[in-house]
Amino acid sequence: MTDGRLTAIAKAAIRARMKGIAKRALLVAAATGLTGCVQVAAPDKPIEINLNIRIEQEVVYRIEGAVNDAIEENAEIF
Amino acid sequence: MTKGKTGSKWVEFTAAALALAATAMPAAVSAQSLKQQYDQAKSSGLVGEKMDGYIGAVSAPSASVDALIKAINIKRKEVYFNVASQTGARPDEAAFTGGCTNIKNTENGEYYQAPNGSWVQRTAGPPQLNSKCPQ
Repeated sequence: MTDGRLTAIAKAAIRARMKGIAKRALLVAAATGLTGCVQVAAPDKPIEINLNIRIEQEVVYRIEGAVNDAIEENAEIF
Repeated sequence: MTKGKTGSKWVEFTAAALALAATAMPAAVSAQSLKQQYDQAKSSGLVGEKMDGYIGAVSAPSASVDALIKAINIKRKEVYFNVASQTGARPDEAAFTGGCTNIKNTENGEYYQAPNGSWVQRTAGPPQLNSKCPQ
């Protein structure tokens, strides 16, 4: 055997060992990745900001007629 | 609208007419007495018109006055919800609008809620209305 051939065998052995370590490291990383994972899920509904908290005078004027009719029709409770 | 048995059966299937069915079908006697109780409570200053379209106790209510307030307000709520669904407005908007009208309709001596939240007795003059009420 020549020195060169010995070196080649050694290099191959080292490479194989490194591959094993790398595989194991990947497994560990995947496992820890799974347990320590924070799930960030996009909401399935659009975010709604309610801007209708206040009574709009425009609406009051628009529905006044219908409200007054309903009050007249139900005079016994108004 | 048709009257009689077939008419009232049909009414049951229409959601919009539920209020009508509830008020028209039970004996007229109980409706009459509720109205009488309500009129009496109004004129004696036990209940008043609130800005939100419902009635409230002017002073600490007895159990019967409290029950009367709840009975009236449940029926009113139904009316406001119906108007809201017809007009596309929110129920609280319909109720608020009703509050404006109810306060305007109070008679001399009856109580209503002023914009500052206090109970005020209606005088011969115009009532104090919320600035958002149709003036």
